[in-house]
Amino acid sequence: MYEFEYRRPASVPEAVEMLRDREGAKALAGGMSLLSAMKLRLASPDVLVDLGRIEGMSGIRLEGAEVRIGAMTRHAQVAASAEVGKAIPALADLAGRIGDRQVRNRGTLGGSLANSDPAACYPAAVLGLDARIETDRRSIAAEAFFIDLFETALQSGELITAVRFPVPRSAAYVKFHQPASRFALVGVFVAVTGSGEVRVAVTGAGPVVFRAASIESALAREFSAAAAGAAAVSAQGLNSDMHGDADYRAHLIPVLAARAVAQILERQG
Amino acid sequence: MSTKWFGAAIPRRQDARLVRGEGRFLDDIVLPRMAHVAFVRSLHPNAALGAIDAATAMQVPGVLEVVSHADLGEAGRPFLQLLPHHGLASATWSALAPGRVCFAGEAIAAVAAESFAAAQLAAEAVAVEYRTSAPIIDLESAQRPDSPLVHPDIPRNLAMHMVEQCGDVEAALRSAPHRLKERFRITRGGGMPLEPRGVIADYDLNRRELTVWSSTQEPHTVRNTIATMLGLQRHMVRVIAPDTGGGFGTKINVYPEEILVPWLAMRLGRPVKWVETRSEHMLSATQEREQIHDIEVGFDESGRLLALKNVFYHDMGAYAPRGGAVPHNTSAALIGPYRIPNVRSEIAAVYTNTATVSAYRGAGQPQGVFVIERAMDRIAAHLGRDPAEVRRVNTILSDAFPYDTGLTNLLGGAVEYESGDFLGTLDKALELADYAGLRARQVEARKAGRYFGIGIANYVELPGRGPWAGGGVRVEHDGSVPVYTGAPSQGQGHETTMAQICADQLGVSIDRIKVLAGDTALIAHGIGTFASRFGVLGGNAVRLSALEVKEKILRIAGEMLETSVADLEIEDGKVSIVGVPDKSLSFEAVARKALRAAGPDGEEPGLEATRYFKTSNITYSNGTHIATVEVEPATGQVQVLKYFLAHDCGRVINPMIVEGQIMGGIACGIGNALLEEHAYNSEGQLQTGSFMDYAMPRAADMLEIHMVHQETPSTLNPLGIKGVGEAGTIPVPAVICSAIEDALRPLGVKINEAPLPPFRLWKLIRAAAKAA
Repeated sequence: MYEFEYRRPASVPEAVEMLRDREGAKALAGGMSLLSAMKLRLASPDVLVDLGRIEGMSGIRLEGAEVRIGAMTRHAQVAASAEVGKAIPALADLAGRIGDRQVRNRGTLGGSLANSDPAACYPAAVLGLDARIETDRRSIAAEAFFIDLFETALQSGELITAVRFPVPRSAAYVKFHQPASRFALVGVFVAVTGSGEVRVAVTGAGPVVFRAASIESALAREFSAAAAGAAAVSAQGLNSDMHGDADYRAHLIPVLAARAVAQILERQG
Repeated sequence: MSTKWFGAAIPRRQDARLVRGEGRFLDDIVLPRMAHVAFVRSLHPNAALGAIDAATAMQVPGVLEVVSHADLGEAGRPFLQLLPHHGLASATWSALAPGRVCFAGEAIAAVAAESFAAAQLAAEAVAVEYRTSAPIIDLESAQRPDSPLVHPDIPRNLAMHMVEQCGDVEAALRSAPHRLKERFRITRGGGMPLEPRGVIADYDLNRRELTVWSSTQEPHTVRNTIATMLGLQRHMVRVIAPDTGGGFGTKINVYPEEILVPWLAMRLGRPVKWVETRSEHMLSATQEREQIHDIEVGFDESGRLLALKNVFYHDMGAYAPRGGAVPHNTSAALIGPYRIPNVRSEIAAVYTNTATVSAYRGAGQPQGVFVIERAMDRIAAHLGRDPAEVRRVNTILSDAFPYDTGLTNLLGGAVEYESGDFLGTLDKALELADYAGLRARQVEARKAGRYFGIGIANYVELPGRGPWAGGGVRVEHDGSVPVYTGAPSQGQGHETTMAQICADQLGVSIDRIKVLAGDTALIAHGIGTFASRFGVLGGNAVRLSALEVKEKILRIAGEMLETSVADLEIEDGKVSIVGVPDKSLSFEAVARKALRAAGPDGEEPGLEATRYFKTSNITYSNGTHIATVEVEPATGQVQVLKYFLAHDCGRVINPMIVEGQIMGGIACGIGNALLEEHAYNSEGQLQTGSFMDYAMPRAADMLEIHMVHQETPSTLNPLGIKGVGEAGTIPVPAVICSAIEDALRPLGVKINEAPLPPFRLWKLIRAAAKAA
């Protein structure tokens, strides 16, 4: 780790100010990726702006047909939340299976989304549920938020403050672990929205989370595991590494989507 | 000897402090004025080194010194070959790379600074000029005449070529009713101790004494090497291995850093510490397992092996600190518990531009077992026979011991199994697993469209390797009993097992005994803890010392009680006259007498002995493992369901420790079978530089293990011990792959390689589906 300056603002405007102030400043929102990168000397911010003590940035509220989760809410809080468990059990389940216990108790929703790791779990839920990302200055639709590998619509110094998840009719998330990191080699989030739209969001497989159109249309025709499993997904543009090539990832997407659909149908009994 | 303590399941003495986080590991040691070291490591796998510019690095505040090979003088020469094998083209490492580098990660320069942070910062600022050459990574092409060379003076990269044979393989193959040829491949992994390597050195210039702490399995070898390389007399160097967070073979070698850090301490005149980072461990600690085997077997209708011919390539990596020990072990482990009248085993061990290969739990044996056990399954499948039955018809019978296999071990002696009941473990494991019941379950599972498989594998382990180990015993004047040895424990439990052996031999409670280990100041000579050897050799050395002390106690007590030694007995720390229990002497009383000048005539003061147990042979443990798995063809995911084993490591000192060793070994084996793999790309860059890509087994990957102990005493040592440290690991890749192939039999998938992470297995399943 290189030397850096540590700052701890008390409010969102103060944090934004600090981030704007200095070129090499970076927000610390749990630090489960950033601190590791710093320890490996892959990241060297001059200033760390720790969002951990800002009041009002964490917390979970049911607001009408939406669940609003503060950006600094820890994964473990989402996993344990009665509101989330009742309204969007798939989201609580996803949060409860991110990383390990330590990561779930430090890592935050906003931190994960701002980082946009291609293998992170939360982006699949945000895109699958058609959530909106609130920042210090605007509200961004999930579709517009995730741009590319570690790249989002956030402007320099822009802070996520909360995420609004519309309550779906039903949803499920199925993750296939990369054997070493236990990140998602492929993770598939299937949701049937309040209006009945079927959305299938895929993480881990590509440079950034995306919707699997072929599976969505197959499921729109017939909402069954068999329909999801039979849909073809192209390997074009998907990730390849020692843990799985693009073909393997493309193959896993419908396999996992079928399992998610089976879970949904099983729950509906 | 009573066996009150030997054989008892006594909890390990170190566990209380270790599980409470109160162990004292290398990095816990802090000395006044201590400097810290960071290394500049090669970015390239094969390069000549040009200028090394440290000018910028020296500007970093807190930097004390930047050194490269040119500064080292005599200390920079290549290490001596530890195991000079016949026909070995030896290449050993140096404290820093001598003008060229042979793998990415090799240390080129070292920075000493007031803090580790400053050292690290300065290390990044050292500019190294490389003249790169194409690397050789693939071990099969390494031998080709046009291959790039790892060491310019070693033609065709050939470290060792060796042929072992008995009988006439070619003739036997020609006349065999059935023949099969297969190619098997085992991929490279590495030991992953929780605590990485580390060294601290402190030189007292006035006393000319060097003290070194190292996280090592072999403090005496480290001491001897430091003395040789730094031109010191052995008695001027003391090496201490503190609590060590795992070794697994990764800490048996004397590494370049173990010379460089003491050298720096002497140069700077202050203590110096280096603790390996995990990234450095991945890049530069030794690794093992990569081999390719081409085998041919000839057999009859019953599946009885008539001939086994095997040619294999072994990847040595960049250097050979321990000669050809690992591939020789593979060859020796190849025939396992089977009678094979005609064997030919040919080794071609080659250097590649990758991290050095040396022993990692099992040390070549898992590969040998993998090969013969995969062959057994293929023979069974070829003949349509049960795999357990094919193994049975080949198994060496109990009346055949001692059984000479016709091969040699790495010490040059015969691979001669001293004793055993190989059918015993096979039968016990089959019974424990309810093998017939499992087969019935498989029929049901297949009907239900599930891929349920049963794997079976036998092994013979080569533990207890000589030539010797030492252990001392003393009775203090207060009656306490220190037992001391050089070989440290990295989880084996010496503190407990050596106390158990001493307690019985001496006739005292284990509570009086304290085992001290891992310090060259304790005992003059030592070899170390590896090759499942210390229980066998150290245990028998402690026995000899305890017996010698006991004889002296009896002689002195005989004089004190005015009775013949023959009429005395020792129990619970008291010497008494047989039949007159109230006339007794405590150990304290005898020890005080032994220390007084007025002791019996001819006796020197004190109750102390240090003996060494010597053997020219290896003991042979064996066992049978059975596992069931379920495979998900859609993903390639394997779930290990149940695990059964029967094993025989001779007489068991402590069943709880043996079970722990076996279970830990199986965890390691599951990693080797399903997860763990170090991968290099064709440019010679490691792809698995962290646990983000190197997959380790975790608690959730472990399962309930059912085991039975069979005890066939070794005839090679008085305690009848055989050794067990690697037994848990050795057959696991074989048994899991056997089960996977069995599960996927309806799909016609052949398993010829390990490990099998989901992606690789899925590719095999897909290829079989395409071929069908």
